Amino acid sequence: MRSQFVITPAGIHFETPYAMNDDREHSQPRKLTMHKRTTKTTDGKRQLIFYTFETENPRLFKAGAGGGSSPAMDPPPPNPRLEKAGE
Amino acid sequence: MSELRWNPLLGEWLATATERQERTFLPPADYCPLCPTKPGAFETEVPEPTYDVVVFENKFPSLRRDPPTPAVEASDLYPVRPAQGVCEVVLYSPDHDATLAGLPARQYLKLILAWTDRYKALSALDFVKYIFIFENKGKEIGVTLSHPHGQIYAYPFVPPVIQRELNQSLRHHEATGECLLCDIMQREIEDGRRIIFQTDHFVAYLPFFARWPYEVHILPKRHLQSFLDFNEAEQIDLALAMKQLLVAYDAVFHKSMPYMMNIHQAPVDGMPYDYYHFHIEFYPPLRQADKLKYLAGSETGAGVFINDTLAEEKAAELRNLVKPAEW
Repeated sequence: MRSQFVITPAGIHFETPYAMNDDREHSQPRKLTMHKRTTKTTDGKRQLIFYTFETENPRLFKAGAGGGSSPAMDPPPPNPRLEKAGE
Repeated sequence: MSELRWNPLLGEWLATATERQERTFLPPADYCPLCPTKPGAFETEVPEPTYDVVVFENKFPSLRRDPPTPAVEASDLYPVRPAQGVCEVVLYSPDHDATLAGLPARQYLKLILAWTDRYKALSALDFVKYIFIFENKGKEIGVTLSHPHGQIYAYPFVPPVIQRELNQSLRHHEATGECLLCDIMQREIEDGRRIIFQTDHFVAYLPFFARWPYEVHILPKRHLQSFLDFNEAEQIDLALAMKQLLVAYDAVFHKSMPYMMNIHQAPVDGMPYDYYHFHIEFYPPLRQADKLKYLAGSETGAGVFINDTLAEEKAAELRNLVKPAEW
């Protein structure tokens, strides 16, 4: 399934409300929680790390531009150099 | 044998790594050391039947945590030091035939999280001064294993290309009080001709000073020094931006585009680098579908790149190929 957002010169914007349901779980950007397990390569000589990931509860997310930001996520401060450029 | 030899003529270190002559070279898929180990089949580097993202220490490293004693003695003219560092391999997917361009954007986010973790972990090693995350992709680049993967080199010094960027950035900051790459990004946005696309938090452009026909730089709009500075929205947005660029690359010649991907972050040597700006540089070596841009006499012997194309024209070509990223 293709994502429901479009790219414009000003950035990425969602075409549809960001109301998530299970059958669209993999269609929209969302936060992942990472887990890691450290072991050894098959020859037992070198460090090997397995990274696994969990998708956070999609109902924690809501509509809006910004690539699927969590509502709890503070927006980053603007870059003053780009503000001067009218960005 | 491996060691670091000082080049007094250029003022930079060279790593020797003679064991790498023996490394696996383009094995058949059934004997790929980067695939998962299937029951009853060839034992690969990964001792489990599948994985998502894996990072392990390179079997044929040019830098080691516990390096051997150098094979030659140092002198006042020729300093020599052990090749201490870490070389890691990052596996993007268990699918041997996948490419990063073909993976969904959510897999890029997983890589960004793993890269961030490795940057943090390796920076804690006292002998590590710079962490270089990169990918050599395609036989045109000289890869020895086609399985989708990247690498991480944790150097015991700041590499010369990064040092030149730092020097230029510091000089600009001292002269203007501004960040050099913030100013370049602002100039590119104002001009617009070399912009490939923008997302909420990133800008992708083909630089005014591009050395390769399809060279593209991706920069965060916020003034960040490393992955450690990213918030969640920026991590997700970078995943989308990278995916968009690599899909556009594959559309240029209707085939999988070879490239070098180089992630430039601040050193981890304890010095302040507030004046520096995180960015990713992509260098595809093709100038036409079947023609490589070679690094010949001028580029290699004199350090002067000759680009056979105009950045403005190639940017327009790439811009027209950008499509929404698939998550």
